[in-house]
Amino acid sequence: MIDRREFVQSMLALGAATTLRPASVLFAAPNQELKGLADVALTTAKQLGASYADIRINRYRNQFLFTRDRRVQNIVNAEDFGFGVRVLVDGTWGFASSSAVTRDDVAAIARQAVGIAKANKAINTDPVRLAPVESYPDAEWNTPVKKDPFEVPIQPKIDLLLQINDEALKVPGATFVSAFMLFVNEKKFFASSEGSYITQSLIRSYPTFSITAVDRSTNRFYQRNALVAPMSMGYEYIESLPLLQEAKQAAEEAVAMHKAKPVVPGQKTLILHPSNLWLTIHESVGHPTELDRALGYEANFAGTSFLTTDKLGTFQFGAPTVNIVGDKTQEKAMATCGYDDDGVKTTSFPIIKDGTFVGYQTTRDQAHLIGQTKSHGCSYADNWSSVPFQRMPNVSLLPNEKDVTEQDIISATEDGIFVKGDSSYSIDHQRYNFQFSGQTFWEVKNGRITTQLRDVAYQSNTPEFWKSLDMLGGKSTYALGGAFSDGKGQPVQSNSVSHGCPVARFAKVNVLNTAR
Amino acid sequence: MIWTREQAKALTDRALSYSKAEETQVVLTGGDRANVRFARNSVTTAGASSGYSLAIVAKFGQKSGTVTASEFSDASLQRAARNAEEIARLSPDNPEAMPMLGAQTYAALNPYFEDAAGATPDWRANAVKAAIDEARTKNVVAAGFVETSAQIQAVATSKGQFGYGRFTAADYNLTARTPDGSGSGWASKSYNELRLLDPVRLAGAAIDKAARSQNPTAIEPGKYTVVLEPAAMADLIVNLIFAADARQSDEGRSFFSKKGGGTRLGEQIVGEKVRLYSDPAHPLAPSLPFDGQGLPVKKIDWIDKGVLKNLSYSRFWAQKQGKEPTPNPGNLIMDGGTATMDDLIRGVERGVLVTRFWYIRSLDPQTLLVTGLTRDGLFLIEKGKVTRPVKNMRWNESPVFALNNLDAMTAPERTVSGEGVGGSGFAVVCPAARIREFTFTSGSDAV
Repeated sequence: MIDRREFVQSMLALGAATTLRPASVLFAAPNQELKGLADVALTTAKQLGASYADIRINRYRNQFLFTRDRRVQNIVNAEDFGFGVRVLVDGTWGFASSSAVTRDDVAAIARQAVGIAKANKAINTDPVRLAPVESYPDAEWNTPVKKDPFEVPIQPKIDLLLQINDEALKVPGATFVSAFMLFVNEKKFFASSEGSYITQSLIRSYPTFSITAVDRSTNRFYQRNALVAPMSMGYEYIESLPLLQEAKQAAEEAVAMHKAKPVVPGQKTLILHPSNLWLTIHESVGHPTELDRALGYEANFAGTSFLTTDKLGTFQFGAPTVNIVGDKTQEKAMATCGYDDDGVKTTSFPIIKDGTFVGYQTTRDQAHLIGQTKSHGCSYADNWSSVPFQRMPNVSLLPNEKDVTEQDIISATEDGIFVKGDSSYSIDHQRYNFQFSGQTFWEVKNGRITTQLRDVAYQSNTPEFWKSLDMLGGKSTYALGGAFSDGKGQPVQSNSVSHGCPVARFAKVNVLNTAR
Repeated sequence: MIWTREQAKALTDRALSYSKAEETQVVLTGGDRANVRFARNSVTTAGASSGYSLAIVAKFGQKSGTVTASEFSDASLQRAARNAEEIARLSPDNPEAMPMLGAQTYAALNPYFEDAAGATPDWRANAVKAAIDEARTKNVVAAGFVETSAQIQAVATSKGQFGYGRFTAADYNLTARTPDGSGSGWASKSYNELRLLDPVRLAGAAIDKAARSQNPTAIEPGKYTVVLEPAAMADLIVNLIFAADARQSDEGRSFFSKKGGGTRLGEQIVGEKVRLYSDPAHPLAPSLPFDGQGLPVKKIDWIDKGVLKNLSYSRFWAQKQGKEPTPNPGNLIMDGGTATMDDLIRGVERGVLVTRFWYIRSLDPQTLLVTGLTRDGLFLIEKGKVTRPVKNMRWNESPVFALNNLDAMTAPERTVSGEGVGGSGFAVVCPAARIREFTFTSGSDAV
């Protein structure tokens, strides 16, 4: 449950603001006007004693279309516009924000941010130091899209969603369906006192659905969600997907779950499809390798990490075949952008190399805390009114250099379970003990898929699990999974992120039967 | 200063005046928030924000479209209104669309308190300083968050409805950890009134628990009698009530569905000691007099003497089933008992005392089975006494099974759950409780 805070100054302030320019005008023009507004913040902050200042002027657009049982339930266009000013005064951060985007308001908010920094100086014993960054005086980066989803009319979107409804409900035994599309556009303008002026436009698209099969005679019901991932792509992504075929298959699998074989719990060989493994990577690799968690900055909310700083460079995290990268440049991935919210050009960096833990996700104000001189570019704020802090880049498991196919892995498995799709997910606050479920489960016997299983969850301990990886798929099995709603921080902020991975096999994992 | 009734009405009137739809609803939310965050015994970030968001719903017959905006100039509002109308016209008829509400009568409820609305930066800084000073004295490391807020909600329709309400919240939560990372304690409270929040006492509780939880040892997972502090209890009851949707139950896709058809309304579903209800006038958890769509909020019994009394009916489903629609409640209350915490512990031969739960997720909606972990203080109880800290464990349990095995409770108190439910916007009041045969399934090394 993410609490989105969309703030503006006040109606009176807006009414009085003669220089008010709508977001659509500001972002449509060359960015001289945005630069002018930014310079007001940067100059004001500097004059009041800030050693560093930055401003983000952001406009967010979301479109959400929701259908259920052959009906259009809701269509929502949401827009949000404002700015946040962050300042560093004597090593203490201050932040303030407003949606009244005028020169007067920008100056007032910059003064407020400086005031907050000064007020908190007395309780700050850990002065902030920023890793150096290049300046980018006129940079631009846009998600490469072929079809801007906000330019695509609503009608074809509704038509497709209703067709998905039809395909699902045509399957005998499929009782209910819901299908929706979500499109997001973040237009971001960043300027800092170190000479950067960066404009970015990020676009993300997500079509998905959920099908339920109810049997009133047994009073049991099963749900099967789409295995589709959200992507940093335009409407061409929606058009490229075999959604109708997938809806039919999902409906058939939801119905078949009623007759599926209940899993016998015990230690099992697990074959995890990327539609399942992405979330396990997110929780067991993505979060424990966040430096703010390892250092205790998230101790009161998201938690700390078992990967303490003494383990950097030495800890055996997984099997020698495990190579995992943090990457904010990965094509089509949800966290991909040109520059982070510290103004650092994004990059790719190793997190796990040949099974050893070698890298944290970092921001400019964290690098020095572990003796490093460069940020990994992982700063992000989910709104103009939110404080930027360390957020997860795309964290992806590299595929086998050899061409190992999904079929190769199944053929090599004597007795195992093949899991597709993500479902229940839970992990402790230091990221050791986790438990995951999935959308569909298939028994594998003597190299062949035999029958559908149900009521499956797997539970393990992070390093034990990653050390048990004994087969890794090649490039042909690699896919991205992801989410919009990675939560962290207080107030909670939401981060979009993807995780790429091949099909992978894990030996002797504890499998539970979740029926009661 | 947050917007007054007059300011809110001026905007909703202006927005409604631009609409060319057959029916229009506007919902204004927003206000002022200010927070300070700390970690490693030092302040980390702090900020103040104030602002508002307006949602416009345009309706033609059975077609509707929604637009939200944060720019309120005449031109922006007109653009938003046109966009909502355009979406509505493109949308196919929704046979489930309900007519918008006309004028409503709202109770005089007041969840707004001047002391919280006027909380100063100094008050927040001192709340943080109290924790940091005490943490340093006791040689632990504190991290936490303090936030005060004053917010409004206004709902208006072209059919004459108008509601305005305001509420305040003061939230404080912190975690204290021993420097060696072997002990951790947590405390969290949220009130509408600032005077009820005691940062010094909360800091003391978290710090004390960090010291007492140091160097835990593992015990075997299995079934244990548990004494759940209110923060842990709260997560069980909200997971039960949030699943109590009438439509899903009628449709056969809920724990509350009856075999063969219908719902389990009127059935005994948990132990007789359990009473769960929502009451906007509860003195510890006052809420706004109307919900997000403008329905008047009222007292609702969910479970009484263990019997399912109500499910949540949307306006459409209520009409279809011949029931009254259920307003979205602003709080959840569980009646307690007369036991003290010591009484609960004294009655345990061998069991565990749980501070809070963490990362709770559904495993099987048919039985409401959920999984989660313990966090920030788990203690072994032997022969009626707390004997030593034990390592955290994962549990797989259904709140239904747990509430069937409940045998004693303390008096209820305003509570924020380990998962954060019960803070600003939705209040929870519940007791600590003793529950038999709670299922722990695996151990965790996390501290």
